Amino acid sequence: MESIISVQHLKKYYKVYKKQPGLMGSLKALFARKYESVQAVNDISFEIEPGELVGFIGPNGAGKTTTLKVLSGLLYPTAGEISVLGFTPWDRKPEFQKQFSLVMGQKNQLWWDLPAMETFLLNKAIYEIPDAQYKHTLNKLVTLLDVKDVMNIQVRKLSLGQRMKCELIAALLHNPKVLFLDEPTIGLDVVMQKVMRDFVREYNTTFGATILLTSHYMDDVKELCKRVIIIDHGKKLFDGKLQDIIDKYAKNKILSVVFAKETDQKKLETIGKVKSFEFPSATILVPRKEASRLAAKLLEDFSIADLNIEEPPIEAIIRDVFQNGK
Amino acid sequence: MKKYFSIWLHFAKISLQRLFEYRADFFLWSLVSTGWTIFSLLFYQILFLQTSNIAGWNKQQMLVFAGTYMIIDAATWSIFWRNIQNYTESIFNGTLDFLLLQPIDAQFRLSVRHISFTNVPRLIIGIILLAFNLPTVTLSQVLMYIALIFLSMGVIYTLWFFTATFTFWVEKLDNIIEIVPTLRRIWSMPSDIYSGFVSAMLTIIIPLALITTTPTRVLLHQFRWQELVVLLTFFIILFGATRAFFHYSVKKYSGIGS
Repeated sequence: MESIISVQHLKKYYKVYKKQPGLMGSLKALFARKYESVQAVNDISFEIEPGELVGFIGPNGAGKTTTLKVLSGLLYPTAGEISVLGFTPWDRKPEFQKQFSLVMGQKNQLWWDLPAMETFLLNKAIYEIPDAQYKHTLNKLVTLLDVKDVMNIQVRKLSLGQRMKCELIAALLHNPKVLFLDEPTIGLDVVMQKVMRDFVREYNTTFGATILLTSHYMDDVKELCKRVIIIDHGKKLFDGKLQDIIDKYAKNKILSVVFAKETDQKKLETIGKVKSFEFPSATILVPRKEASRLAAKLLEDFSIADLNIEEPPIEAIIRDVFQNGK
Repeated sequence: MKKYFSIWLHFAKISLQRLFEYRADFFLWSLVSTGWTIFSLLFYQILFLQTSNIAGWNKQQMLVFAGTYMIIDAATWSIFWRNIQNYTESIFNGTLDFLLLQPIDAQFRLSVRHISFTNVPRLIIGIILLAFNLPTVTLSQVLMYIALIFLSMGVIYTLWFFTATFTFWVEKLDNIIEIVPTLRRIWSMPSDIYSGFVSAMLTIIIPLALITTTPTRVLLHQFRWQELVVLLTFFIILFGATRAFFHYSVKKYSGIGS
């Protein structure tokens, strides 16, 4: 299939001015400023096919938002070839802008002191959405997100969750084919996070939209995305199935044990690295390849009530990836 | 064109809603602006106790001039002040991003977002002042007058937007949008008060002194088409330069943070 988003060797460098601390530093900066080049994105390439829901993860300052901004045409790249929906984003052609949306969890486009409905109507005019389509889409989104009661209340009086839902509606009224979601669940409670996740999945399947999602919450990515792209320090570290991260990066497995009889921690350490031990349970880290052999040894040498071999949590693996990447 | 008009209408409606939402704010500012207007009229009264004309303009003509100045000033202030303010703020806080993403001319969207109604009393006082002091005029003169008012407002708006666009190029520049309000002194008096080099400067090269004078002359049967040509040429060049400057600056704009 032809890819809907294509990024080839994207680079984006910023010039940032560095001020020395204190008043003297400020005085010096009046006359001579030191600029430093920050490599926000450094040679990233990927392709996304129509209808994919891809997770884009990385620690703070990894270059996620910068990449999304380049893809939506807000930033001019320093180098690289990018095509979204067949357009060059930074040409900012109206035909392109009518087909995608960028939602930022930390910024809002709704009018603060008016009901969300006013922003919806304004977007209808700006995106030239036909009446029938507008009504249909609005009804559908309002039902999906259950916000019928809040649309006519001033935005500033809404809760963060309600506001985020309205933000989403405002961004989706024109039925974008491509959707960039930047931290859509930030600051939301667990219940609302789940609502958002369900909605994103639903939107992806019913509207067939291509979605690129960034999030700090691994749960978002775990539940929604088959494919993830991991970046850090402006470089791509991984691109593939979430399961493959485990296969590629997880060096250990976890043996969680419940003992039948009292045992000694020192003796346990002959098996592997004891992570926790509080009789009767213990967790032991063992090299991945030797997991079965060591589990068998454990059963042989100790009196065991229960034993499980587990994968380490994906958060831990990714944290390792980031820490080793430095 | 139709799209842009409907968007403008939508913004106007929203602004009216805000007005009703924040009534106290409206009344307070209306009071302040009416106070200033009365003060400046008193100033004219006192001035004409001392002299019978200012640079060839008698009291009645001066009051027509003052009415015109109030109309232009109240209208530009109502339509553009908040927008220019928000424009520079949106560059600092990054909300400009959202505007740039939408399929609409960014300069248009930035320029029409808010309409303030606090200067409406001033506009009405200006019109009353005209009604009481106007010599007999023909319909075509009135139409010409209205067209010239729009041209003058266009010049002020463009100048304002042009100066505000410098915000892209510096890290913080709060005062930049105060330049145009300060320049108002230039067109708050008839262009005839200037002489020599200053006159050439302000009526030909940068014809800011004509902003109020040229429309007023139409009503006083003193219209000079040369002034219209100068003002119109200046507007077209300035508008073109502003658009180019804006588009160039947006290219440089990189958003706040990453």
